[in-house]
Amino acid sequence: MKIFERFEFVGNHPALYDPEQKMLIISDLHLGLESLMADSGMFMPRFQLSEMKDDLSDMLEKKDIERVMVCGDIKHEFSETSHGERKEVEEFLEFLLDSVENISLVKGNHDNYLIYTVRRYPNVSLEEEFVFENTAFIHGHDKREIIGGLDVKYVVMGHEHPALTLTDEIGVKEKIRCFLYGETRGGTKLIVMPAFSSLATGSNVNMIGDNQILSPVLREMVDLGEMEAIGVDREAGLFKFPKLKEMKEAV
Amino acid sequence: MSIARVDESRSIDHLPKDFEPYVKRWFEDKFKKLTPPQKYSFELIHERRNSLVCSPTGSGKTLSAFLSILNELFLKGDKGELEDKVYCLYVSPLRALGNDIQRNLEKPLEGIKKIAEEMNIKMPEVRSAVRTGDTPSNERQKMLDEPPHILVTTPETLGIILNAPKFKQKLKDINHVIVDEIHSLCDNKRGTHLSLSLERLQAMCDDEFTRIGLSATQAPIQEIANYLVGFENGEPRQCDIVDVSASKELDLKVVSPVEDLIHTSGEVVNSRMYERIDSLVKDHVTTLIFTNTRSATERVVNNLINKDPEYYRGDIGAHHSSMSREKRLNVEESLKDGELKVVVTSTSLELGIDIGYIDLVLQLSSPKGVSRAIQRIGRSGHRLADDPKGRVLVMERGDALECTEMMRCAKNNELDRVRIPTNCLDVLSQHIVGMGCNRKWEVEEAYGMVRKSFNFHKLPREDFEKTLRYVAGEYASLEDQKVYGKIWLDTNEEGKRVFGRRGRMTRVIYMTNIGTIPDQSAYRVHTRDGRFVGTLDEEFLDRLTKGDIFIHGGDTYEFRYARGMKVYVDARPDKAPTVPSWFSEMLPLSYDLGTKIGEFNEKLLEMIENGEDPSDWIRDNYFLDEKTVSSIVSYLDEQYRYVETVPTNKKILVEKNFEHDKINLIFHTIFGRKVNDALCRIFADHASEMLGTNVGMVVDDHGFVLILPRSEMSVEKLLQRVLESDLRETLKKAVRKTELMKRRFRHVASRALMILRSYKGKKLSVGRQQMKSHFLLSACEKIDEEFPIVKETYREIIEDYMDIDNAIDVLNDIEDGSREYDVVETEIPSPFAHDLVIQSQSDLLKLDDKKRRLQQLHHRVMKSIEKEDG
Repeated sequence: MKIFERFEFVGNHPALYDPEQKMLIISDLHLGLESLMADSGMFMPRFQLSEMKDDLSDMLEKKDIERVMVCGDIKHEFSETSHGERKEVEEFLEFLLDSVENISLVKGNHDNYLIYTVRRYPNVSLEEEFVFENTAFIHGHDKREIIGGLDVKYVVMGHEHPALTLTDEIGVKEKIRCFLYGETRGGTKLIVMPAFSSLATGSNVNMIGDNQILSPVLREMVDLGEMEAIGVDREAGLFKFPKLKEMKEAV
Repeated sequence: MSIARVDESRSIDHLPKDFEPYVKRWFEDKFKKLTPPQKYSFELIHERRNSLVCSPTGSGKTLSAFLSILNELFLKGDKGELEDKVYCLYVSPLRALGNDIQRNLEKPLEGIKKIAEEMNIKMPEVRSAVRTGDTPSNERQKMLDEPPHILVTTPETLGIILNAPKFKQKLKDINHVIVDEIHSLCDNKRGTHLSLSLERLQAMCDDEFTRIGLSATQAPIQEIANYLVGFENGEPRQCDIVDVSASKELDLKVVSPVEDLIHTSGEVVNSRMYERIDSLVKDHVTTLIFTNTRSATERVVNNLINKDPEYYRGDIGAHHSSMSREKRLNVEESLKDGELKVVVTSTSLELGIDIGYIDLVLQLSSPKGVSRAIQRIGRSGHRLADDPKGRVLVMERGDALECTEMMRCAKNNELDRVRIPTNCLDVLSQHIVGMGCNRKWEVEEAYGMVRKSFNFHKLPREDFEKTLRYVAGEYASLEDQKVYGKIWLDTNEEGKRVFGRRGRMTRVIYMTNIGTIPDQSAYRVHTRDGRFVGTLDEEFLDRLTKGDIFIHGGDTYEFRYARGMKVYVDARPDKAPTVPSWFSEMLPLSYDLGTKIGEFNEKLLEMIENGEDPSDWIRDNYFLDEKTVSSIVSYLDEQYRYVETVPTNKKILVEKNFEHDKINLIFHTIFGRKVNDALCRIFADHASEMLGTNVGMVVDDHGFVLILPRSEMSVEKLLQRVLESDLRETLKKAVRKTELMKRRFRHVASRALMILRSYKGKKLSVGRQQMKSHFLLSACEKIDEEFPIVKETYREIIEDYMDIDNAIDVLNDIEDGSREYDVVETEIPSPFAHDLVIQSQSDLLKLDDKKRRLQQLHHRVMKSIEKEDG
């Protein structure tokens, strides 16, 4: 299974691999969420990063990866980078730099002040957007003019944390994070990445109304019902679903 | 054994000889004679014996305790030994303490002072003070400057006082501790918390203090006595039990509004019921009506006023816990002064407070337990040593059946037993933090102290160690420990392990987050077009799934979805509710009473099988009106004629009921909801594995239902699987997959101070607590499956919320053949199943295998799309 005959899946991970660029794509890590929670009185022990490292090692073994692309929200805190987050970001970058040559970080709406951490690493770049060949990488929290750009045929974004909610005949509900893909109204091919963070809750794209969608890109530039979904679960694997509008009708 | 009942030879008819003359005069002027509890308690307290006094509310036990204490303090004063410190601590679970204390302590004190003046005796000055969470700081300061001799407080405030740096010094010479309404504390975590507080207090005191427990009718009395006094050197401390609970004869009857509860329309049943209530009220001077829910309370008041506005308006009052304190106080006062003809209440008038002369208690629907029935009915006939009079109005046949046996038990004082929770690691965590804040402790010493509490007497060393390590933050990486740890844990130069407080924040965290009652959040309900409807508690919200119809504030709504703390609904005035609105407030039927109902059924089944008419036998042995007798006989008779059997205590009935594409597997197990909940989840877990599907569940007091997709399902094989499995482990596994686990985990984590309600001056909303707590749960499980907070969550659910022990007993009996079971197949559910099948699902159990679960769902989506296309 591939998306747009090009982007490959990597095991059961919420990630994509672009063999043309030898690039691994992930999005929405929300590092440091635990220390932020501890700060508000919820003493959750840190476990995200070590889980992520396990997953990344697995993917690094499976594919030949030269560059890692993160489509935004590397860290969680909106305002100043807290001590806990900074350390986690450093640990994350250093872990990857052991195995890959380059890391590209798209700046998400949670990534203020990230530059002070990142600038110490020459092979790590932080930008509002990246374009490699005909493919653009954005976060998705605002409308990037680049989507309609002449040379850009593919756009990959994060931000939304898409997920599907499924219900059985007895009423049991199951939430599964998913990739969304389809075309914008302007004809650009668009992929929305699921969150890589296991702590991030997803938005139920098959249940909620269009006005509850977070990303202005999805709200305004796309007919959401026309997007198709592929569910991904670390334990259970990949599931190809039809267009969202058909799923809504079926429920 | 040093816990023993006091025998009758100890009973006295006058105050003990060495009581102060003015105390004696005051008492003799005021009362004609000693009440039954007073005949024992004055002497016992005077002799500084630990005692548990059990008697009906209003029999003067609070006064007897206070009067003895006052006398002790006067005697001390006479000898010139009365100093500025606390001698007596009085703990009550009631939050609105003021009124009661005024009546039982301050008024007597005034009266005695007057008598002493008349007798020209100089009486020592004895001070008392009330301290609760609401006490302002200037009053707290006053208590420090001039400590009260008698300190009145709540369990929660006691926990705080123990850590008040200066005030705790004033507690070192406490002689007496009185725990009032002990029956309402011992079966829950408030009581567990108090038990450890008392041991901590004891550890601070120079001498052992005398413990006095005051309790309403309750069983098992020996255990409650042991809970009060705890252990010393591994043996229960001495305790004398005064049990005069059966000193009053009860006048009881179960009453049905109509001849035929099933074929009469709801409207008629309802209007007959109000006619019945109306005539009963008018035949009596003052009536107290108990309903089982708050909403019913309001409804009854309104309907009575509509029925006869002239008679009721101004003379009827409502009293329940959602009302403001002032309104409640008003009603209490008017009731006491004889200004009201009727008061309608849910549970709030069950406890404490003297409510004056009442000649009839009316209970609407089953009160679900013998002790509760006695307690409620005992609120009548107080002052005039009259015998209490109670009438129970039943509206459903299942209810009638329940109350039949309940009234017989109440009459014979056959009480249902309470269960005292043990080894609650969340409460323990909280106290370890509190202990650490006070001083350095040797681990060994702390463990010894904790085990003096009845609730922790059998606490395994390993659980104590793990809890200690949790509180010390040792589950986090070394660098994070200063954030996560609340105590430090170290080995001192003598090689002994010690712990103490870590960081300055810890004391504040302890003082602002103490207590055991979870934040029960109120969700705000809005219609989707933006109208505010009211609030819902989360327990109720948990039972709702999209499309459910429920009643709120008299109107009907359809549940759509919840976002954060907001619930969205659509108004559906034309639809019938699918969810009973009382569910979340519903009290569970006790197991003991359940088994007795089963025995009653057995007796009746035998008579029906022999072709005898049981009516006469019921009439002679039970306390029912004619209509109820015929309701019950027809209920059992219909069940028998339909499936040729009736579920009894010895024989469980399993009904395989086919409905469209589903099978309802209905288990008729009359063991109360706590046992049935445990049984249901154990069966559901095995059924899920056998069939490879999810399972829906319905639970109530008289049975449970498994909802399965239509398939070949052998009840025999299912039962075999269940009996062969480790029941406790199966239940834990089943619980892990439900919503209940997530919610309870949050409560436990909050008690154990892992999730703080209040931190750095900010309050964490329940919604936020809940949102992330399932991640917290999986994080804790990854650290250690036996992580104290996780372990406690399981324990609380399967032992306190459910009743695993009795559920295991039931299944063992099936295994050894002392309980049998019958399987029948039905197209329409049998009469005994009707109450069960009309309820919505209580919970859902997910198939273990996530991959399979998702495959099934995926398949379902794809199939329904194909259908549309084709």
